[in-house]
Amino acid sequence: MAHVAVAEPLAPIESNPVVDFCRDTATLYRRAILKTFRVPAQLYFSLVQPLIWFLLFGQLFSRLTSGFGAGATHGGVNPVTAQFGTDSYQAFFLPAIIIQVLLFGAANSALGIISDDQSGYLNKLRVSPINRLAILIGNLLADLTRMLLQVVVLLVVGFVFGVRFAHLELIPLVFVIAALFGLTMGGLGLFVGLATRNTQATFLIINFFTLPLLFTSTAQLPEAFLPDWLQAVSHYNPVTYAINSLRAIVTGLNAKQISDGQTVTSVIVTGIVVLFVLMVLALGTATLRFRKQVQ
Amino acid sequence: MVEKIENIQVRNTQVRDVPEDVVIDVRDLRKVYAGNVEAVKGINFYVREGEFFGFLGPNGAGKSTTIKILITLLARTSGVAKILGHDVNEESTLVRRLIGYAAQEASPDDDLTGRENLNIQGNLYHIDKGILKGRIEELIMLMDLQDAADRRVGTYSGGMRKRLDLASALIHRPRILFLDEPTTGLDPQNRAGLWKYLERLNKQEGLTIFLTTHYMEEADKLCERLAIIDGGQIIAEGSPTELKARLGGDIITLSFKDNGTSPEAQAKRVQEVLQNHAFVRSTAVSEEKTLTVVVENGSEAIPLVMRLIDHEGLAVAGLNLTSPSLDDVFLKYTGTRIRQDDPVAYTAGGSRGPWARRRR
Repeated sequence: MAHVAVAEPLAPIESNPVVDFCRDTATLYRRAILKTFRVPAQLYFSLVQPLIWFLLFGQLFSRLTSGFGAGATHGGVNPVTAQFGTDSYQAFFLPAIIIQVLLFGAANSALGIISDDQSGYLNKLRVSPINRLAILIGNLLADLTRMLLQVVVLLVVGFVFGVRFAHLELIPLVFVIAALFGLTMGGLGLFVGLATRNTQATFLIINFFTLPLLFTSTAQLPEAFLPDWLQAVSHYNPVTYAINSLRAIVTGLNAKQISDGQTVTSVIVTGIVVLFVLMVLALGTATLRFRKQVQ
Repeated sequence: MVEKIENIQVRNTQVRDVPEDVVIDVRDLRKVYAGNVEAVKGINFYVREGEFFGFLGPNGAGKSTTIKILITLLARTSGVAKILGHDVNEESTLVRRLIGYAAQEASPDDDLTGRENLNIQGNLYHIDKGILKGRIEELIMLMDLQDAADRRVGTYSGGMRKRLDLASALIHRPRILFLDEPTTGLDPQNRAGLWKYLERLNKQEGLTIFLTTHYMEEADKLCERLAIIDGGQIIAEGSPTELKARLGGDIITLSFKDNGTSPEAQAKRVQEVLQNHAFVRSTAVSEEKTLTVVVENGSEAIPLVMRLIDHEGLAVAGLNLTSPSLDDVFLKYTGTRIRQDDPVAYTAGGSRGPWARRRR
């Protein structure tokens, strides 16, 4: 048969693995970001419920933190307020809302990958020469971007509703803590998503753990107000560390922390170290699972 | 004399000389899944540069498994599988730069525009930005997507999505395009349209195309050469014309009514009567209990056939004369027909058809 001159393929044959990895990650990051912002409704709605909770709880428990208006006792501060570390429940609760948003964001990372798997897009990626890990990292970074934007919104709303930050100069650390926590939960969510490959199962599993995680931490109440056994449990809960670190910045320390000899620095550093280790574990687990499935 | 079919085992382990311009080289390829499920049982074939090659077979025949191995999505168990001289498992990254793939279900991003989809795809292949821009325009024109290129893919029709997917698969100007059941689920109009694009790509651009399908009409129309696969083995191979010619002629199909004797018994009786006559090349009783008789010249053979079976007391319900189709080729080698849309009728394990029984 007549031989038509075939043009040369366009994909370069020679390559630098590191450059390629960065480039591939950037491509998939860009794709994920484009998709996120094309459907802004999802972005807004994921914030609405937490914001409503923030306002409602803040109002609901406002008398609690002010010690029911009872007078100051020794130390010049009402003991209840002292345990909260602040007289505003709104300020006390803001970190919990941030954590809650990040927790729910974990499901989103999983959904993205399940959706790509089911549609066949994941196969399209696997047939291309891109670095497999870039698929994971690109999506995670996009999720992280989304999460950090949500944190910004929450901080602004908090400020607008009267929250005055105890350590304004440490605000950048809020993002560090949020990022570590978000990546940890994102990694776990991804693992669940990869293991189940099913949207509904993923949702069920993540929701199953979310509420208990919040209630066995210092999200709603200071540690001193928890029964002894819950106090013990809360020490093994990553949410506790994340929230305590954030609270140290937003409201400062509470009475129990002070009497335990902690400082703002020690609380934050502990939180960051714990979260960092957990993040490495979570991402490592997700990566191994991903490799097994995608390689 | 009844024509003997070549032994399937021998055919599959032949060592053959491979021409120089071979781009896909597969020898004794095997794939065993966990649980000892042998999906591909040692197949051999090659595809030359610029050919339009097809894998025709029912669902479960091993087509998907084979194509997944070739496009580097699945590791083979044993055998040789080389694309442009590169092993698909050892040099997979290199192979991926040279091949394109469009799956049965198109999977573009619905939230992005056509252009954006192509742009991202081009970036996956590390195509230089300046070149990519031109290439995207080229493909948009080739696939007639000019009006829709800046619209969200979610607004595209099914046919447009397929064309965009095809453009995506070609963004990096691959040497070989792999298509897995490209027109399954498309209406006849879109199917014919897609065929037009595929023919254009093959003839005008010299693109080598490998497709899998269970539509024999598609294989017949598009493929220069094809391999018929069933039960994990290649049953026959050649151009559509060659394959049909191997059947040896026209086909007379006789169907019978139950008149006290079952139609199947009647068919078998006629088979006995006819098989020793010189003008009869081969006979087979099909699943539908009809008798298929291959003769050199159908119109001359019909009166002979009728005379021979006249006094047998049979109730012939109908007689049909056709020239061979690929479906008949399939029937000959496997004893069953390829049912286009009826998965229940497919059988696995080609050597269990009536031909095999007769051979033994």
